[in-house]
Amino acid sequence: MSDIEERLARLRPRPAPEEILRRAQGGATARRTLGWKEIPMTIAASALMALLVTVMWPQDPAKDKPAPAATQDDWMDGDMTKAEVDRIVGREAGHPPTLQKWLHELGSDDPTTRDAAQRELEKVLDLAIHDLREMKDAPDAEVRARVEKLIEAYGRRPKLAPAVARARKEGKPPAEWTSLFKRPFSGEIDWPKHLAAALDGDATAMGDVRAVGWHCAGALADAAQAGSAERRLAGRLLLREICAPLFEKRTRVTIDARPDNDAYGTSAYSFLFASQDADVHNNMVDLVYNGCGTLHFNPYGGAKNRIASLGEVDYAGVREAPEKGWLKDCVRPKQGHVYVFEGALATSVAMKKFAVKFVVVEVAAERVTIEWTPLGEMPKAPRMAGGGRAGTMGQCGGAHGER
Amino acid sequence: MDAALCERLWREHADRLLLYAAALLSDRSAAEDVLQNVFARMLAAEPSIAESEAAYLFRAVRNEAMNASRGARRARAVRERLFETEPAARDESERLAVEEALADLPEDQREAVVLKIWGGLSFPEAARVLGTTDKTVEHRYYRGLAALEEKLR
Repeated sequence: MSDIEERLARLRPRPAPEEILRRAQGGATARRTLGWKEIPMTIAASALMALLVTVMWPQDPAKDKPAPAATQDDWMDGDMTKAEVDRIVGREAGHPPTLQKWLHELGSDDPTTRDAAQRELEKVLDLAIHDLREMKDAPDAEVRARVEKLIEAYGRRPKLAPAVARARKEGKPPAEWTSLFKRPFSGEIDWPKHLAAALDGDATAMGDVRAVGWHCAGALADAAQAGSAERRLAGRLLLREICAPLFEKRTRVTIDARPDNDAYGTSAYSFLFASQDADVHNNMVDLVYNGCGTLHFNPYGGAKNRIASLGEVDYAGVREAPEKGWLKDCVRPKQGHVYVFEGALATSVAMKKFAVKFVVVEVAAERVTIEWTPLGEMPKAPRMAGGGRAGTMGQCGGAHGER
Repeated sequence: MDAALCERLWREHADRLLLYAAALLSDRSAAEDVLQNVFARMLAAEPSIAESEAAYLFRAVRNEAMNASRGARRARAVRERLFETEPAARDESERLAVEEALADLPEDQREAVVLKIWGGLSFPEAARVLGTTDKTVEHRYYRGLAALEEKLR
């Protein structure tokens, strides 16, 4: 095999979503995507058909309930049909929903409005996906690019079912849920009723579910699954929101101490390159665990990194860099403590900042083990980095404190 | 087709079939539809797979993709994400570079490269999928490789 063949073969195809097979096993061939002009006619036809059916065959209320799903994945992670989504957003009833406003605003002249609309749509991809697929060929290049990002985000979104399963196993019991409220509360809550109310859009109940967070995901999923199509969709959206902390991937790294100020080896780590390999990071590292027992985070000249120590806080709850409390040079890692690292990557065009959070899993004089997660998008790592050649920068003269 | 056989074919081939369809259509969702149709048809019928399973499946995907692209609006200049990388992995730039270089290849060369490298097909198998001769596929493949090497240098 030639070099180029080996290089290509190192890349793995993106996995095919399992739901495609499930749909095929259900006997379904893929739907044809409708053009914009066909939509009003389709809606009109389906509305007329629904009216005829209602008049001729009065509906049994029990029929409104969906058939039990074969597996949890079927209802939590599969596509909702366009008809279900349309019914839920009220389009057929002629009420222009907020969803349409956000879709329209993707092409706004104001960049802030476009960004805001994209952020809102990211939260309701289950609802928006059919419209987004229809907009893939929009004439406006900006809209097309944003639509493609959103469709890709829909394809990449983590599965809910495993997160819910984890919540059932690790979540606090219902008796402890009110202790998670941030508001003063005394009394009792009938949680089955409260969860159902949240699925029906009751603002107080939704607020309480958000306050309890992923701990109540199992019960919320049960309530949604037993309910109507509307409740199931509301459940998916709310579950995706409260389970967000469970989707986070953590990268675990062990950094060995460097007592002798020698070459980095495994005593340094680069968040940007996600590597301890000098051939990869080219000595442009972010952390060096020196013999002084502190993590130095500005090991080479010109680096302008900083770290904030947040203490023993809930790791999943850390979403952004804090405003204050930054150290400029080194930090003494403490087991169980969470930190935010902010890096600055100088490119030929501009200074790009990025942030990661990390938690110290284990710490000893010989090594420190951390787990980290990017906070937001990481900049593209440069092909050639600019660190020192020997990998001996960021040397430390002896014991000292944090600074 | 027997459901267990279908499951096995899915496990063994689905990722690369989807990659192939996406490379043909420059549209990941259309490629997913193609894959769904191929498997739905196989389950509904009793296809006789006289050749290698992989060659049969790639040809079915190709036929379905051709049908899909006939009905679709003209292909857009979209760079589809084709490969998997971990977030913040070091080869993210490599993935982007390869995807860009692949998208720029002429379609016949791109098909040959995808079938051979990621499809794992031999030249005779790829020739059966493409309805041409072994030599032609080989020629397209090496021209494609040379072009990729140049672009990725």
